Amino acid sequence: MQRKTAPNPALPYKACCYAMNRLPYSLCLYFPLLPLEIFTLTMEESRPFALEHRVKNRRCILMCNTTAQSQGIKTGMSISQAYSLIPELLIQCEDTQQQTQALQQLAIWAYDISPDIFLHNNHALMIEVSSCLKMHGNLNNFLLFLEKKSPQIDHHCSASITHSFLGAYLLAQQYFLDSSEKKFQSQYLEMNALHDLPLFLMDINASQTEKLTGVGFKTLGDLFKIPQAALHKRFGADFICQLHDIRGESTPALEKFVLPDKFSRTINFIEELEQVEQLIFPLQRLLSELSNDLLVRQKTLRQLKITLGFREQKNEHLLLGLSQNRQAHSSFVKEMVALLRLKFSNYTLQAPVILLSLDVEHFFPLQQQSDDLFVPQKSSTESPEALLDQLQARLGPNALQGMSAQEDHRPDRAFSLQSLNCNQDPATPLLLPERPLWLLKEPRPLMIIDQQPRMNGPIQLLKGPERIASGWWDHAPIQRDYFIARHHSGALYWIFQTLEEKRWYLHGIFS
Amino acid sequence: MASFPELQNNSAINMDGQPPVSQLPAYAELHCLSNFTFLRGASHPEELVSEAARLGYRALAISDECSLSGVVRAHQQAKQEDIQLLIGSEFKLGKNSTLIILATHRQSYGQLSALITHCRRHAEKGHYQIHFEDIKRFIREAVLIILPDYHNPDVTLLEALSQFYNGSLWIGLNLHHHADEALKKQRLYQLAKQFRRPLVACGSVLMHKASQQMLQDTLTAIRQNQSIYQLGLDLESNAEHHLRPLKTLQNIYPPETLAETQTIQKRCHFSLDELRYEYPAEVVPPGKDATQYLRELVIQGARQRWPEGIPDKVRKLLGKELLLIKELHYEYYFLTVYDIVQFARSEGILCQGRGSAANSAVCFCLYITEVDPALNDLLIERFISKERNEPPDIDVDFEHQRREEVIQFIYKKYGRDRAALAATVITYRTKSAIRDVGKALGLDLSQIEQMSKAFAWWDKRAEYLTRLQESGINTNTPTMQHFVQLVERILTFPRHLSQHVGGFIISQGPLSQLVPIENASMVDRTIIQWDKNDLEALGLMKVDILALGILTAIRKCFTYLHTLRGQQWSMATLPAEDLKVYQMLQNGDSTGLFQVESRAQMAMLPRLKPVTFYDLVIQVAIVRPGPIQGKMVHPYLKRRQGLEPVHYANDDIKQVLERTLGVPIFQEQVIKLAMVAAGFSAGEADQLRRAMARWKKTGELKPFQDKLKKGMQERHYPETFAEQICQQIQGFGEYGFPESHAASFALLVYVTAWLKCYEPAAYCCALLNSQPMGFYSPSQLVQDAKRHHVQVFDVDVNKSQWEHHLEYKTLPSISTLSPQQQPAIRLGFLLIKGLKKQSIEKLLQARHKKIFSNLQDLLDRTQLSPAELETLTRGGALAVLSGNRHQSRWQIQGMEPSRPLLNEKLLQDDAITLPTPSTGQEVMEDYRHLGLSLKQHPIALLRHHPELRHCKLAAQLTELGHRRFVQIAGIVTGRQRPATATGVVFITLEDESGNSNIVVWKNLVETQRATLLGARLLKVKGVVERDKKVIHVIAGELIDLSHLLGGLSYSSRDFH
Repeated sequence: MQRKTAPNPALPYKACCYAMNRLPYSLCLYFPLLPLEIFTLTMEESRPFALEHRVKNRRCILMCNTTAQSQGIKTGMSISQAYSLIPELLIQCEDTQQQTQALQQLAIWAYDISPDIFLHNNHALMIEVSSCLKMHGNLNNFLLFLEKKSPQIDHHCSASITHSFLGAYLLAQQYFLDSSEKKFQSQYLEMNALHDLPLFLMDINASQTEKLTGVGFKTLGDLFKIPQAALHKRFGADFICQLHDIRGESTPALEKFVLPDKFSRTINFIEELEQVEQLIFPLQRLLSELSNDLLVRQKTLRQLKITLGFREQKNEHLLLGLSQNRQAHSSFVKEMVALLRLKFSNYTLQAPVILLSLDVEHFFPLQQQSDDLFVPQKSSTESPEALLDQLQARLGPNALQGMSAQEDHRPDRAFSLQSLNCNQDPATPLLLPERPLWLLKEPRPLMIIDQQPRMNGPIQLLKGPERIASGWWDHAPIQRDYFIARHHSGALYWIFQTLEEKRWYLHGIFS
Repeated sequence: MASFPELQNNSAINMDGQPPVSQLPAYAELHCLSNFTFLRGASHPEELVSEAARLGYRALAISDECSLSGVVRAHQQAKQEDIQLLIGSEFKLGKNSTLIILATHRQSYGQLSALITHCRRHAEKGHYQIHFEDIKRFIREAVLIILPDYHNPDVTLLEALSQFYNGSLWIGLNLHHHADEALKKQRLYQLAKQFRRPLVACGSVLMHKASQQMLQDTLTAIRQNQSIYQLGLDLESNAEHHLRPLKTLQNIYPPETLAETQTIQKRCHFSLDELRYEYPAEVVPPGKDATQYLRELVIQGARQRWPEGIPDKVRKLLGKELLLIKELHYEYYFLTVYDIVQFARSEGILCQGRGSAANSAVCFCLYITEVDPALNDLLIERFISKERNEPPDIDVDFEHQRREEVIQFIYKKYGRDRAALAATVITYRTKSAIRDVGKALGLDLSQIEQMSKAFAWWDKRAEYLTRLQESGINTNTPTMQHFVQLVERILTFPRHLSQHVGGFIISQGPLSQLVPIENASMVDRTIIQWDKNDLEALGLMKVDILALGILTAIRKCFTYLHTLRGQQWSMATLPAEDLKVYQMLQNGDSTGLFQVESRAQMAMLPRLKPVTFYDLVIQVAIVRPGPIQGKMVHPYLKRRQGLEPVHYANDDIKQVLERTLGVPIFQEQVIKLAMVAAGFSAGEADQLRRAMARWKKTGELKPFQDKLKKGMQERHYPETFAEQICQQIQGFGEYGFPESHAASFALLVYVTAWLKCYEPAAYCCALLNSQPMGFYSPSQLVQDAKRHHVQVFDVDVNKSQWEHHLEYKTLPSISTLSPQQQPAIRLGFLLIKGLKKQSIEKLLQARHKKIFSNLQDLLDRTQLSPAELETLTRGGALAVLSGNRHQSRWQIQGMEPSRPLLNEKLLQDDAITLPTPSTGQEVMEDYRHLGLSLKQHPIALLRHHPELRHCKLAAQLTELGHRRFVQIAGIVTGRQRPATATGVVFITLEDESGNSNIVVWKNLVETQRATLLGARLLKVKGVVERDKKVIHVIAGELIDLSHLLGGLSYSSRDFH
């Protein structure tokens, strides 16, 4: 946590509470398993999975799913030990970017609790709730409200309310450590509950922890008993400030959540997806987040961008244009999925997918409600065929990007369609030796007469062979002897003979 | 159509059709890299030689890049095939030129070797630097072939080369069916004309067969540290860099360029067989001859060894040995070793020789060994045999903390140009192969790790595919198939050269004339480019200067005993064959001893019941893969106990096996059996010995085993006997344990056992001060000492030294120590983790005047930093000054940092009472900062816990009967999975009373894998199994209680 010395202007209400000598109420929604869940929510429960954490050169387990846990994987265990327990264990590195995205999404979900939301440590939301307590009448009602709202989220969450942000945060962490069976749990505790909390919950480094335990301190209560000056001298100003924050005597600097102007969510798959159908389930998740996002924003959208990522090739972007602006409604996800199914029906994956993301770049203001009243659920009543027509018209072939050119001995790989069709700079220096300007998309077999290749008459071999035998690694190996040949018309051709079958082909034409 | 015959007449353009075959040309390949040009060459030197011979090449040059590392292997192979081997090397010169230098005769070879040495020594390990001036300086006579960059030839270089090496320079033409080869040919012909030098054909070979291309591409990817997908044009465009059939070469190259290969071949007539080793002359004083000098030294030594007169037996033995040494011209060898040992003795460095020649009466008289020939029946003939004509082998072990002094002595005495370490060729092993191939194929790191783990340390290679499938990896994808195939192929490929553990080669003239020398990764170390097998193959002498921890401990112990008891012991003077010492050994009480300390050895001691020195020789050798895999252990034990009759098939066999009751236990016996029972010639037996040492790497044992079985069958030996011998040969493998080594080790076993038996305190203290070494941690050693009634005291700021030391004056009742009384051990500051010796030196200086009275006094007089003070507190060394750890740490933490000019003052203002640490906390802190605790054993603290309620103590196991049910708990101090016991894992548990041995059978290993591998504190429910004094608990259920330990740090010795 970053500490700023200046008072935090983001908390006027809180300051007000103190000024009026009233206790503020702070809620912390702590998502302990968020780093893990961003991966596991799109995979089978039964596969053992763990997240790794790197400290200098040591790689160890940060957290793991229950399947892995039941087979003996523990936090802090070295990666090699983990593999020796479960050889088929899937291990991924923490993905802080995805985690931030997910936490922001949760903040959007929490927007109707209170707009005063702060993101903390990439796994917790701090929410100022003093004002909304009034709205709910009392604390109990508010907790009930939370309980009722909780099934909307897929993540484990432990919620605590007390009279300081950091206090609530520590209590929420302890609450999860004490009982983690329920997916959602909430509590209100008085400030004196902080006394029993263990020191390790504090934001302190290993050497400070060592120093504290070395003199026999175990709980926050132990520290509260010691004169501040003595602690200050030994553990520094930041430490004292943290204690103040925990006790609610000061407020920590927190990052207030602001709605981003774009929607962007990415899922990195742990295992490669090979079937188009496998994309539907994760897309459903992303769409439901999008739906929630639209609701909070009170906006509509007209275009979705789906990005597929592959291991060895460039990402592919698919645009899904919509005939009219869409807003969030109960069957938004269903409708979009139906559209995507159509989109994918005649689409084949060029390689296994390892990444999926959903982006909305522009939002549009919500049209007046009355419009919809007159044309209720218009989109869903359209026939699939009509939709398909619409989609095809809108997507067009340009939505697909071709493969890029790359250095390769194999002419088919070195000269991709793109480099022939696109207006690429012809002066691009190629390290390859003499190559024809025109390369056939597919080599064309040549007629053989008297064991000699012919092409509307005899041809004469001028130069060669250039033997190209390469490409065993990516399922397109070739073994060919290339020649430059002259046709009786004077044209120069690039032809080859395959080494194994001894067949002749035309591959290119020199201008 | 008319155009085609025309085309075929052009020899450069052919259709691989039917060329006008007349006669195949004579050809010698002059440019060929083996896999000793690391990550470029894709075939072993042996493969290249065989393939070249098969194709009918007249000669093959192995011309690795600035290296001669692969030539000995190639040479051995070439001797078996009908092909001449040329020795050469390739250098990258200037921007784009390649130069090949081939040795024409012995001097020329020496020049090449010296050039390589120069280039390598002037660059970082693994690299070289070369300039034209270097070539000019070193190379006088040789064949030089330059491969210029035909696009942009370095004319200056060509000019210089052709002027300086006129008649010895060729321009190389290498054609590989690339696009612009017509142009290349044209340009090279022009250059040839311009510089009036002939063109010669060369293949720039990287592999023996085209099918290796996959591997060659992979090596390129590994070298460039990229995946194969990213390499693009950096890969070869085809597989033409292999040894091509003569017919193909004839079609590609102009005939005159092929003919030139013959001219060159005829010029090169050097063979590695011409290398003669010359011993360093300075080991013999001027004016004396070696035989006479050795004899003088031996007689002089014998007089010292036996002041009352040399026993007759020994006198005869010495005569016989000296004669043998003279006949085989080994005087210089013995004198060289003597010289080194002499240095060590003069410096007080303890050493002990072992190896085929070490246990001779001559070596005893030269003080190379302490194994007394008068007491033992060890004949040198057994170790050096005339008919085998192998160089004698003496390995000398030195104290591990002082070996560097010996090495520096050798460098200083003989100079770096005459002494260097042998290389060890580091080859691809399964793990490194999986990692590198995986990366080359673009697999991601976690997947590679997963695949690497799928191959557990106990799996056989053949099971790998199955293991991968089990771990959820689809092995049917093309990438995975490539992966498995490539891993298989790259295994045993050399990866880089490293230094041998201690094999020195010392020569009379500059060593670099014999073999190139390069820098090792360690500063101030140089290695030669050959490994010990290469040296052996060429019959070159090597002395092994090894480090042995136990010698450090023994020497330290002798020093303590001298101070303590005023007696000067040496390994030779300790009372021999002491009954009490053997009794201790028979009880398996061997913690901390040399060699017999492992769990398997401990279990063997009560069964074998050693009573003589020779029993120890057998004890050392029997618990090893050879005898175990050959199933020789049980027959030996039975015969020893008289439960099975000993009988010999004939007198020949009796002679070989009598001393081990008819059961072959030593490597020498197996080799001798091959000769006596299977009719191996001396030469074949020697080959067998070498194959045994190498079989793990090369797998070349099979033909020997077949021959052995056949030979024994013909001589009517039972098939089972032959089968056992074969198994045993396999088991010896790299762990081959010859009797000659066992005898030297047995002496150290006896010495350490005597010390532990009579001087447990001094011995334990010496062991603790020689750490890290051996099998046991300081904690285990201290616990063992305490069980032997030795008092051990905590680190104390007012009493401890840097090292551990012996104390007796502070013991209440003792003012002088009687022989029966043991001193106490005072733990030293070195035990405290994170403490530097310099800070303690300051402290000791201050304490010398007066001991410290309180923390402030310590602070005032030592100027130690708060961090140093805190480290002392953590280690409990300040307990005497400030009560408990909490209080003293609080005070030290309160010191104001960074006031260098003012004396730091402890802050008394915070008179705060902190919670007193509990015993548990103290023990935990002890373990964390000292690695041991004298207060209480962690298990003792947990005894009251319900989980441990019904658990027995380790010491109580002796009271329980065979097959009794038992529960026992302890800290896991060891996990072992012997290769010789299929699937069983042995666990050692430690509690406050001692150690217990748990056996976990295979099925339980599978079902309780997690607990087995992960638990630090383990409870076992099982059944007691007793065999005499050996007690095991056969586990039925394992329960992980590690959570009870909290943060206790306690390391286990796993799977070594």
